[in-house]
Amino acid sequence: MSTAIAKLSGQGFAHHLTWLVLRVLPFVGMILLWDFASRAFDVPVLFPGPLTTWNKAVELIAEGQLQADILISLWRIAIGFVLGSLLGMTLGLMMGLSRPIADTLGPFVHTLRFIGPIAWISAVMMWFGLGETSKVILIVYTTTFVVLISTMIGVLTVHPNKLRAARVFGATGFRLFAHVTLPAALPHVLTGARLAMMNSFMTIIAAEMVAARQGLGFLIFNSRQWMEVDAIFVGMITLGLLGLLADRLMALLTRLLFRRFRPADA
Amino acid sequence: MSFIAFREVGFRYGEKEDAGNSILRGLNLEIARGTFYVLLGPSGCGKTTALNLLAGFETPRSGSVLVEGRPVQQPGMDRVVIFQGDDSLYPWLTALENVEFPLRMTGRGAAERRNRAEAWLARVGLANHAAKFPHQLSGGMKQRIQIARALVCDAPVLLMDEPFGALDAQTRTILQDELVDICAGSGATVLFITHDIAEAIILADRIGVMRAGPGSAVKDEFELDLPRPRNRGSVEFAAVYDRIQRVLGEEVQKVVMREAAA
Amino acid sequence: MRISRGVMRGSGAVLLFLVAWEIAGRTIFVPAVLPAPSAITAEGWARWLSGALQWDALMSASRLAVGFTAGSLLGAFLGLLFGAFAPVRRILEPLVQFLRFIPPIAWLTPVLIWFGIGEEGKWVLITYTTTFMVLLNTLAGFAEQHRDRMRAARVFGAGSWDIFLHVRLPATVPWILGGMRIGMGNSFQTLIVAEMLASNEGLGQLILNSRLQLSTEGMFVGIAGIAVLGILADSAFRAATRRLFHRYRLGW
Repeated sequence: MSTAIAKLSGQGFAHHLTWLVLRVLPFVGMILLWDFASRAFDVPVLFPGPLTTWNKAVELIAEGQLQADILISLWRIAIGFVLGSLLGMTLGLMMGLSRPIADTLGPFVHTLRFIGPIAWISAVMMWFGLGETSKVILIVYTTTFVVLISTMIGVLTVHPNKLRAARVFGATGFRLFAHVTLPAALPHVLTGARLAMMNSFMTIIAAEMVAARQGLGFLIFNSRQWMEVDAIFVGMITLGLLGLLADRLMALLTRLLFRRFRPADA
Repeated sequence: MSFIAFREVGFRYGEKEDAGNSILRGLNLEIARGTFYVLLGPSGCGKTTALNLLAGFETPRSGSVLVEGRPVQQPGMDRVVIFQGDDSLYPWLTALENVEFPLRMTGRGAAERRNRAEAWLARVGLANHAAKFPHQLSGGMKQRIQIARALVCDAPVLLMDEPFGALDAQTRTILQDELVDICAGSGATVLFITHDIAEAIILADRIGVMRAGPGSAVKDEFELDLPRPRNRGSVEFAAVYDRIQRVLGEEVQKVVMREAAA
Repeated sequence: MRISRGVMRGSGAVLLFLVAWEIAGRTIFVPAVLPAPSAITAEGWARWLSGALQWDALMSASRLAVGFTAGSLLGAFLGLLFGAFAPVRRILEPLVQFLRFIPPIAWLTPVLIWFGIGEEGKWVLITYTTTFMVLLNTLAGFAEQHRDRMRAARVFGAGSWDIFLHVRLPATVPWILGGMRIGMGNSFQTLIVAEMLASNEGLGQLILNSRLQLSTEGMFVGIAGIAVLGILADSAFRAATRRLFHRYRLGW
């Protein structure tokens, strides 16, 4: 405890304070600018200022509305992301390791890559109903592609000397895969997962805007009907914060659990 | 019968045989058991290919590569390899775990693995860095990990492909002297690739100078009977250097002229 | 002409898939649930003949083109501005790093309120989407150091503006182009959703409305249209940039 205080005091403290201020200043500045712009625009219904937005947020939280929307969106993302990552990783490994499989699945992967998940929303809802399953399936769809491609690249770019060394030391077949190929490809898989998380957010918001009765996407789009731009802003800012949190969380988890595998962008 | 033999070995990439794409042609080479053999040659002369053939990473198009009379089929623990650069190390394993790797693959128990790996790490001077990851270590240290990893296998044949090529001159000198020490004790047969004449003289019992490619083979061989440890500054060293330089110099000239022409 | 084994495997798989789909579409499934490829093709052909398909495709393509062009220019400009003037970057970058987590499609709602449901709104949205991606990539490109290249330039007499123009800027070009490519993909997806929610024409609208009109074939025509447009746009972009910027050895 005393060492912590000693660290915070003196030059260290001033340095940390400056760092914090520099980080926070742009946001404070932006909020002030926002406030100024909204007053200048002077149509609070169309362009609310930060205070109005804050009040709306408080109101939504008090009603429990905001929390419910957040949880539902996050829940859908979480399940879809996990399933999609597993599927994407499996397929990516298969395609990376086996030329025949890559050739066979290739045309499908490279075509479907251009069809965004929301294009499938009508079809998916028709086949899987109007409930949670459809939303989750779309998340699985988009996550799978991103993770698949990253994984495949990871497998294909393992340096041949790593494989040769393993063969010299008696590792072939499955052991070669488990002890060398897989760990070598893991950094790419993790980078892909982080990218897929962002895509999942985009997908769920779009899906909720088009076809849901709950969730942040619904909150945002539905508020248009009542011209509640403050609610729209609340939804969007919450979205930004959640996305930021999720991204940082993933980076943290990667650093903690996968310290040995140092993702490419770490 | 020699321990290791290349008999009329030919190698090329690609299907058709034409003057340009043949890397080795009619390579004949014999290495007696326990010899430290250095293969010297200009760039592009196929010396790495020769090593890859002996390691089992490639198969010859013609001729045969034999160890104890039997043709080489696949890579194996009897012919361990130290690669150029550090791409063969596993960045997700610590130095100790990298050295333990061959022992893990051959099913040694955990305690035995650790003891042998630690012993070899100490032998190459990395005892204090056993828990570090390769990216935390210098180039020279990473090569030492490779040396330890190769030697922990106790293999009869060691194959080294320009292991010190990417290191600075001081580190290279130090590692060369250490390598001589280590190999003297182990009794292994070594094939060492380099383009550095001084390095060859420090290390070798026998030196083979290769011709410039394409379609290369051994041009000339030198038996070195200088006493060990060898002194880089001695008159005898310079004399041998000179003799080898004359032979190798011609080949290097050919490469230079060929590159200038294309 | 020798056909590689890979191409044969791929074509074989696609063929098998189409045949299986055709059979399933005719026997197992009602057309309303899963139409056969032949039915989809017929619907597509009908729409082509009537000109409806071209209209929808052209509307989507034009919106994408406008937004993509404007967004690329704006994104590159902002990126270069950030890169050239460190104070600008330091002040605005934290904001950018926060805004990137708000999916572009979320902006559709305020855009609809502020710009209405006409073309301008879609242009604004697509411009934003592309701008952001290009900006992010350009910033990433500027983060690279190239210390030795800059030092070499200084040795050979370059001032700081020269260095920006001749060392840092060329190094950023592949990043800008990469951002454009990704931005195009993102923009296309965002556009489709925007068309579903607020448009009377375009491929996105085709998909949603076909479903509402119980024409599942039409829906698939829309999906196929999206794939075709996406692939064409990406291929055209890659081919054009490979040619124009071949000095930069782009990875595609």
